[in-house]
Amino acid sequence: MRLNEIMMSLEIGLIFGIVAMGIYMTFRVIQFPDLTCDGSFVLGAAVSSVLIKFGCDPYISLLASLGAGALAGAITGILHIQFKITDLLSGILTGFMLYSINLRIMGGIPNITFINSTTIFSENPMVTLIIIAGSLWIGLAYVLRTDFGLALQSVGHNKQLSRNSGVNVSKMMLLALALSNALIALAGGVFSHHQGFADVGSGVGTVIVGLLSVMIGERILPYHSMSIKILSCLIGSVLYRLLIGLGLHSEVLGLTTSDLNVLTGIMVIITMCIPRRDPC
Amino acid sequence: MNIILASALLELSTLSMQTAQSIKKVFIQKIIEHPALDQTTRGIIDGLEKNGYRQGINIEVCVESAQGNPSLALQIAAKFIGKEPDVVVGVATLAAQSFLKYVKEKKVNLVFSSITDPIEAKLVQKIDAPGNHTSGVSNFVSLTPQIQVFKKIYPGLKRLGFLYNPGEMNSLSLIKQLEALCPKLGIRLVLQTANKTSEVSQAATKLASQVDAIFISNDSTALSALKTIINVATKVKIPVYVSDTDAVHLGALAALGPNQYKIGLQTAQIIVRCLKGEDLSTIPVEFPKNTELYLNEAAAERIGIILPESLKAQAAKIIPRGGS
Repeated sequence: MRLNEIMMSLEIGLIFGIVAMGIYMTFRVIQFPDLTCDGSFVLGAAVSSVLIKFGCDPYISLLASLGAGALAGAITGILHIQFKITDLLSGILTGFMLYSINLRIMGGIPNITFINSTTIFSENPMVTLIIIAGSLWIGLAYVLRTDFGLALQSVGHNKQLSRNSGVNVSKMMLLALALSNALIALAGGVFSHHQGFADVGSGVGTVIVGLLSVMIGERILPYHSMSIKILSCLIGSVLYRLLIGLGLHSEVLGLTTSDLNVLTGIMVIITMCIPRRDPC
Repeated sequence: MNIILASALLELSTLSMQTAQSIKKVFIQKIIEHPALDQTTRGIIDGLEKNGYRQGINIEVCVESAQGNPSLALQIAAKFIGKEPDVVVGVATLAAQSFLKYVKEKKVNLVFSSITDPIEAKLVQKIDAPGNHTSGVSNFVSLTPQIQVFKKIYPGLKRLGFLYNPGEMNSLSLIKQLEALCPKLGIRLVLQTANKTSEVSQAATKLASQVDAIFISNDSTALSALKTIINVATKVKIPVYVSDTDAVHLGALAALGPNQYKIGLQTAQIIVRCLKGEDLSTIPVEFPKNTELYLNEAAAERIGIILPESLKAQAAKIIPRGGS
């Protein structure tokens, strides 16, 4: 692997690390298997790219992505809490509907290119990404340590107990879903800036990649501290991208790209089989 | 253990780099495994060979597929750029776009293939003078002659159905053109979307009941489910036309379109010009040089249409009765 490949893996890894943090909020913190992600990732990209196309400031466009993602998460929450639709189905429904909505937002054009417009990335995308991912890490770790964050965590541990302790469980779930999808949509926006275009098909498999990153991270850094758990999402995602980068060099083993998934899969399995250390 | 694997891979890849110093490097990325794109890729490789570039002797050609995944496309692009290629080739829109970042930094020569509208995809500025060290072959062929052929086969053609995936850029460009063209030829265009191959059968059933013929042009979702569309259309005895000549043997009635393999050969010509030192920025974007007419008599028989003799005389290939 050359330096620029490692850099590219790190950059994509950090962007999808934000997705992993979002996934962590739902799948781990409140124990809600949220499948809105495939839709909200593209939603963020769509909102940001359309705004940029109309000459909006790139950072403001990302804030809009954040807001749109929060809205999408809230819809999943409302479907589950208000209409009593099961958690899996409400996420699937929102993600499913978002496909059409994303196409609407993009004006019916499936692929918006803005390569010549100003984006958040200038000469060195790495610095920008480290700042974004780093501040999100610190922010999220702080939020989860506040009273609000502890209430969120209690919902995941034991709904009945936290309800008895006076936590508004429904409200907490709604907020966690909104926060999670806001992060994922933000990542979608950042990804479209990084690529220079947004494509309506780019969301497929977001949830799988995110979940895989969370699990790799948990295996690499098995600590109880909340801030390290969130950091491990970023690290897991970067590691996953590095493994794909390595897998792309499979031609030296006489394999082709179509074998990539098997090779990456085997490397992920090896990572998962690293002897478990005692959590400290 | 994976560290050992990693260092072994690293070492091997640097070894292969050292021996490749004097050879030209051409790296091809296609967006997904797909019969038409595979044909184009094969055309590119064969075309390079016809021009005296032999794999392993004076050229290193490497083909990767991004499996339809944009983030994987970016990583493949990074891998290619790291090997300092002479030319990178992007087959289909997303594959070519994954190199945009490097093109902007003027790090690489980009040749694209099989893109319907390279201007809309922001790959080139002008058809005659593309700029950005980018050029290539579009797969766009004029729609007027295609529709004229459809009218010749069935003069009563009033409503033409167009089945497409709204998520595909190529189809959107074609619709814009069709919407302008159809009224002039006295035809009403009926659009029908299908987001996934699994939605095609229902979409085609609905469309077939509303139109005199179905037209599929360059839409990979619809093409992947072509057999379903043909079955549905045959039931109500209407023809299915395609723009991809390779799809005629699957049961479409006719196609007037470019040969995907020849698009690949044409792309190879541009690559060769670049390898010989020409600046891609000044090589105009090319369109398929000639179109071929493919007819399917077996399909005609099934829906009770007799193909006019004048068309048969023009056809490059006719699939006989009793064929597929």
